[in-house]
Amino acid sequence: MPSDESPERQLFRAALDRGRDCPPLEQLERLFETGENPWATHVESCAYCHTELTLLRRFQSAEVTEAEEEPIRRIAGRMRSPIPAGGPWWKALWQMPWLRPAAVAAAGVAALVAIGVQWRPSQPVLHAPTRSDEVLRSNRIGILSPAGDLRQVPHEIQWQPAPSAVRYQVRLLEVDGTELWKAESTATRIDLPASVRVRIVPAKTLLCQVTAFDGAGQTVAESNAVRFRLLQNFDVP
Amino acid sequence: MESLSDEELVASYRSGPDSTRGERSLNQLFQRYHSRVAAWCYRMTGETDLAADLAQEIFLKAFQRLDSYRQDAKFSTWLYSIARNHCLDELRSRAVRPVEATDVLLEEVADSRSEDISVRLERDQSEQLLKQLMRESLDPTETEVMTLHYVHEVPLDSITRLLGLSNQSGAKAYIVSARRKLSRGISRWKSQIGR
Repeated sequence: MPSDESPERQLFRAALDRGRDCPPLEQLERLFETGENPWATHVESCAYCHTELTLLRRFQSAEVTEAEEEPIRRIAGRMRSPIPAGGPWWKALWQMPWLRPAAVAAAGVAALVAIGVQWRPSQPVLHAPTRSDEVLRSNRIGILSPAGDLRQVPHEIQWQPAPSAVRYQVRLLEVDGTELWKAESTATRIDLPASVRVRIVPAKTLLCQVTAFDGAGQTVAESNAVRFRLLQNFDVP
Repeated sequence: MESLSDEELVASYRSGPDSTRGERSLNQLFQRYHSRVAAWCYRMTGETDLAADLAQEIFLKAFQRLDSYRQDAKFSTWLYSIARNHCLDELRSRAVRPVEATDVLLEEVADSRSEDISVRLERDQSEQLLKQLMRESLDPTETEVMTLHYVHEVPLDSITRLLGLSNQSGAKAYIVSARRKLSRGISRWKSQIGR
């Protein structure tokens, strides 16, 4: 029970919650099936069991309202029968909707690597570095936070230090590359000002990128553009 | 396959989990229930994208745990319990401070004359008395709405969809009317015992 609940809520919860004498769901199910059951009297007077039975009936019923028809049809249309429980673990990746794009991407990368290996030149070819090659992949900066789906609006951005960096430039971008905010820091973190935090709204994906500079102003490392998003129904300042 | 009961399909799967027949058994179970799980998830969340993800996860979880299904309940009831718990967990994880948010909402609509019910009841008898008042005063829908809201912390709009409430303000109206009835019941009880 949350400790900050009002006394009234605590009282309601205590009066309505499952009791020690409440039957398990399979007993309620028989009441649902036959209407005759030793638990019938209990269910009549128990708010918790009465509600459980109503929800079970609602689940079992195939009835949908007119307003529900279209969204439910769309949801059902997106679902796929999962693999048998004993199947190979990698097949399970395809069953998780949020992993499916990653699985597709991984398959694509694997295919590209295979093609690359097949068609690679027999002798390695060295290219002279160009300006755009100056930031080497080994000098990537890892952004520690924010990243991924967030439950709260972030207060700061943190990243890993880059060797020989004396200052860092931090940018927040929209997914189309529009810059929302830019700032500099000599530390490996920076506070997000309130004026920026109010622009981090639920369900909107943003990108964060950090670039490290040495004392001569040369770029010494750069992060990937890391995606993050505030989930729906969470803290908005 | 179509003529087999759910429980027979589970048994068929268990007799050869890696066989084509086993896979067809699961597909048949999926065909029978995917719309119901989709409906449940939609009613719980009100969002098609999230509901689709949850519904898929529910089937994955169920099919991965088929070994734990003991057949002392119907398959549909077992699947329901997974769907119910999965969605409730998701709602709880997404709600930062649902209690306060709803309280504010309810304060706005509650009868201004009704004071905090817990204040009006003596601590030692409050729970039993409240149970009795609920049995005597509340109609079945009010009881269900109160239980879903106060015990399971289901948001009011989800309760409206879950119970198929068609009145204009949905579950909110039932909470308000239940609180008024309980408040009146407490007043009656106090006058009867001469307080």
